[in-house]
Amino acid sequence: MDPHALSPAEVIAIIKRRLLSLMVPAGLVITAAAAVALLLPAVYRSSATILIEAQEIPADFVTATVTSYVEQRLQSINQRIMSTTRLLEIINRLNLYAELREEWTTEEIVEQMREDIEMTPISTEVTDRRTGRPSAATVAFTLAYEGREPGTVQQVTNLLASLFLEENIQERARQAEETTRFLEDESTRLKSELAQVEAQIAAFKEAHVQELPDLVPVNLQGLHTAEAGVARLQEQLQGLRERAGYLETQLASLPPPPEKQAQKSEDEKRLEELKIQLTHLRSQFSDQYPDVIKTRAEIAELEAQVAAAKAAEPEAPSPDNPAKVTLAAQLASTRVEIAATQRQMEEVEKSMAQYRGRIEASPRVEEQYNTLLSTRRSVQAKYDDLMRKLMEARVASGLEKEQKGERFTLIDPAQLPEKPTRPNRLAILLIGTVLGIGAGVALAALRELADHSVRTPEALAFATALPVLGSIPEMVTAAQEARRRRRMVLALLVGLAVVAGALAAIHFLVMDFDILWAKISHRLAL
Amino acid sequence: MKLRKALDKAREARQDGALPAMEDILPAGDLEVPAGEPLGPDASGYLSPVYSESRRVTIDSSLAASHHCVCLDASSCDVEPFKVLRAQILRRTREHGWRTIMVTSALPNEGKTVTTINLAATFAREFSQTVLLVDCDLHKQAVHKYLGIASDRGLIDFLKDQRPLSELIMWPQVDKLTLISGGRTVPDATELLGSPRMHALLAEMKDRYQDRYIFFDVPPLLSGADAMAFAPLVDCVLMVVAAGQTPVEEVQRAVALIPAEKFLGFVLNRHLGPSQRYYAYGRDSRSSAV
Repeated sequence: MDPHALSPAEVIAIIKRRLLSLMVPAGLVITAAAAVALLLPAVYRSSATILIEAQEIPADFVTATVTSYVEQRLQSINQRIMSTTRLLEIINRLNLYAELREEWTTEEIVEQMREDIEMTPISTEVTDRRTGRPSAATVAFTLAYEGREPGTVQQVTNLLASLFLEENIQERARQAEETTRFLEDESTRLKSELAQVEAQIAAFKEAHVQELPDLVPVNLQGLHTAEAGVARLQEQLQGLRERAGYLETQLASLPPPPEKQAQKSEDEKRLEELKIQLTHLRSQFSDQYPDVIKTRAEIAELEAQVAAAKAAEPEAPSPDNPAKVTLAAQLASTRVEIAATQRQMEEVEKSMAQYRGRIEASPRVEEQYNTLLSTRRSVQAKYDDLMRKLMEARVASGLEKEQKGERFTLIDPAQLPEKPTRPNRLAILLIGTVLGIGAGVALAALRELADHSVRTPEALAFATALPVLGSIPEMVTAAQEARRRRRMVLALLVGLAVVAGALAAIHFLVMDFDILWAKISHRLAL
Repeated sequence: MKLRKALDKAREARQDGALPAMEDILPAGDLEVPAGEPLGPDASGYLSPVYSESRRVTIDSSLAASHHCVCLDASSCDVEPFKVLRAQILRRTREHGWRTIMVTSALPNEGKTVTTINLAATFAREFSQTVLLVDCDLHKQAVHKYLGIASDRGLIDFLKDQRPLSELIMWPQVDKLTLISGGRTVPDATELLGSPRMHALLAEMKDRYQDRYIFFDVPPLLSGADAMAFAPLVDCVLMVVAAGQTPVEEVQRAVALIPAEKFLGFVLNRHLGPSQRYYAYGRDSRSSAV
C-alpha cells in the first residue's frame, strides 16, 4: 500500500482499474431510483381553507356560552370527524381506496385515510389586550386530503370541509342549548328550595307570632300599661280597705247587746289576762317552762271555747239597730268591691307576666328568625343570579341559532389538483444518482482498500526492501485483442437486441410508444 | 579453450571416481563442434555453437506468441523490458559469479513460465553465453506446451529412470538456447528436486560450462515445498510478482522462505502504466543507482 497521498494520476489509475466496481452499483442504484421515480403512483392533494370568524355582536353585549378555545374545539371536531364510523361513511359514499379493499382490513384503510387527511391550523401573532403579552391565535385552518385521483381528492376535501362547518355549528348549538337546559333545571330546583324556606318562615312566624322581634315595642307598651293598671288598682284597693276599716270601726262603735257583751267578756277577759300573762312569762322563761306550757294550754282551751261560743251562737243582726244595718251593708258592699278589685289586679298581673315572658323570649326567636331570613336571602340571591344567567344563556342560544357567534367560513374551497404533489420524481432521480455514484465510489474505495496487491515497482520495493529488477508490461497478443473486440461487438449487439426486444415488447404488449412517452414526460413533469 | 577444459575436467573426475555416474548424465559431446563445418568467427567475432547431439525441435511460433513468448522473435517490440531485465540480472550475477537462476513466484499464475522462457530467449541473444532452460515444475510441466513442442521426455526421466541427459535436452533452433521440458508429472516432485542426483546434476551443469546461464522454472513458493527444497541448489532466486494480483503480504511471506543472500530480485509482471517501457527503464536505473 502506498502510504502517501493519492496523486491525480493515481486517482485516475484507480478509477480505470475499478471502473466496473464503480459503474455497476452506480448503474444499479440509478436504475432503481429511476424505476422508483417512474413507477411511484402520483399523489394529488387538494386543500380547503376555513376561516374562523369572530362573534359579530360585541362580547360586551352578548357573551357566548361556548367559551372553550378555538384550538381545542378544532381538535375536538377533528377527532369527531376522524372517528372510524364517520370515515367509513365517507369511504363508502365516495368509494375510496377501492384498490385496497381486497387486501387491507377496514381498520387499516381507515388508518390510511387518517394519514391522508391533514388539518393544519393557521395561527397569527396577536397581542393579548388584557395581559399585553404576545400569543398565537388560530385565525383559520386548512384541510387537505391526498389521493390518487384528482377529482376524488377534491370531492373528499370539500366533503370534509362541509363536515367541519356542520360539526362546528352543531357543536356550538348543542353547547348553548345544554347550558340553557342546565340553567333551567337549576333554577327550577332553586325555586322549590326557595318555596320551602318561605314555608318554614311562615310556620315560624305563626308559632311565634307574639314573640317576633317586630312586636317587642308593642309588648313593652303592654307591660307599661299593665304596670300602670296595677298601680291604679292598688290605690283603689287601698281606698276601699280604708273605707272598710272605717266602716268596721263605725260598726264596732255601736253599743253591742248587753248579755252577750257580759258573757263574752268573762271568757274574753280571762283570755286577755292569760295572753298578757303568757307574754309576761315568755319574757322571763323559755317555752319549756311549765307555767308557759300551762298558760298556753289554757289559752288554747279558752280560744276553743270562745270560738265554740261564737259558732254556737250565730251573730244575728241586730234587728233593732238601723244604723248598724246600714253600716253592715256598706261594709259588705265594700268588701265585695275589694274582692273584685283584687281579682282585677290578678288579671292585670297575669297579663304583665305574659308580656314579660314575651319580651324575654324575643331575642331567641329573633335569632332563629334571622337565620331563616338569611337562608331565604341567600337562596333568593342564588335564584336571582341563576335567572339572570338563564336569560343570558337564552340570548346566547339565540345567538348560536342565528349564527351570529364565532363561526367557520369556507373561504377557499378545494380546487381540482392539476399536478401531483408527490412523488417529486426529479428529486428522487437526483438523490438516486447521488446515492448511486456514492455507492459506486464506496464499493470501489472498499475494493481498493481491501486490495493489497502490488501494482508498481516502487510499491514492491518499498514493501519488501528488496530490489526490483524490472517490470514487464501486460502483453496482449493480436489474437487476444481480436477476441476482446469480438466479445465487445457481441455484447453490444446482444445489448441492442435486448433493448430492441424490450421496446418491441412494451410497444406491442403494454402500450404504444407515443402514449408511453407522453406518460413519462407527464410523470416527470419537466 | 573452455570447452576443452571442461571436457578434460569431466574426464578427470570420472577417472577419480568422484562422479561415477556423470558419464551417463552428461555425455561429453552434447555440445561439440560438428566435424567438417567451418566454425570461423563471424562478423561479431562470436562462434555460434551448433548442437549436434541435442534433439532438434521446432517451435510453433504462433502458439508461442499466443502464450506471450514474445522474445523468440527478435523483431518483437515487447522484448525491450526483458532486455532491461537481462542487463540488471547480468550485472548482479556477474558480481557474484552466479549462473544458476531459479525463477519462482509467491502464488501460481503469476507468469513464471512465460517470463522464464522470454528471459532465457533474451539471454540467449546476448553474445557471451549460452542458456539452458530447465522446466522443474514437475507437477505441471508447461514450457514445451507453451512453445508448442511435442516432447515426451523431461527431467523426470533423468531423475527417475536414469536416462542420459543428452536424450532430454532439446534445441529449439534458437541460437545458444537449449531446454529440458516435457514428459510426465509426478506427485513426489519435492523429493526428486532435493535428491542427490539433482544435486549432482546441478553441480555438473554449473561447473561444466562457465558461460552458460541455467534458468529453472520452479513451482510457486507458497503452493508447495518444491521451491524451498530447490532453492539451496541454485545460485540465486528471481521472483515474479504479478502486478495488481499478488497481495504484498504473500510476496513478503514468499521472500521469507528463501535465503536472503540468494535473493536476486523481483520482476513485476503484467505491469500497467503509461509509456511503460521507458518509464520502467528510467526507474530501474534510478533504483539501481540507489
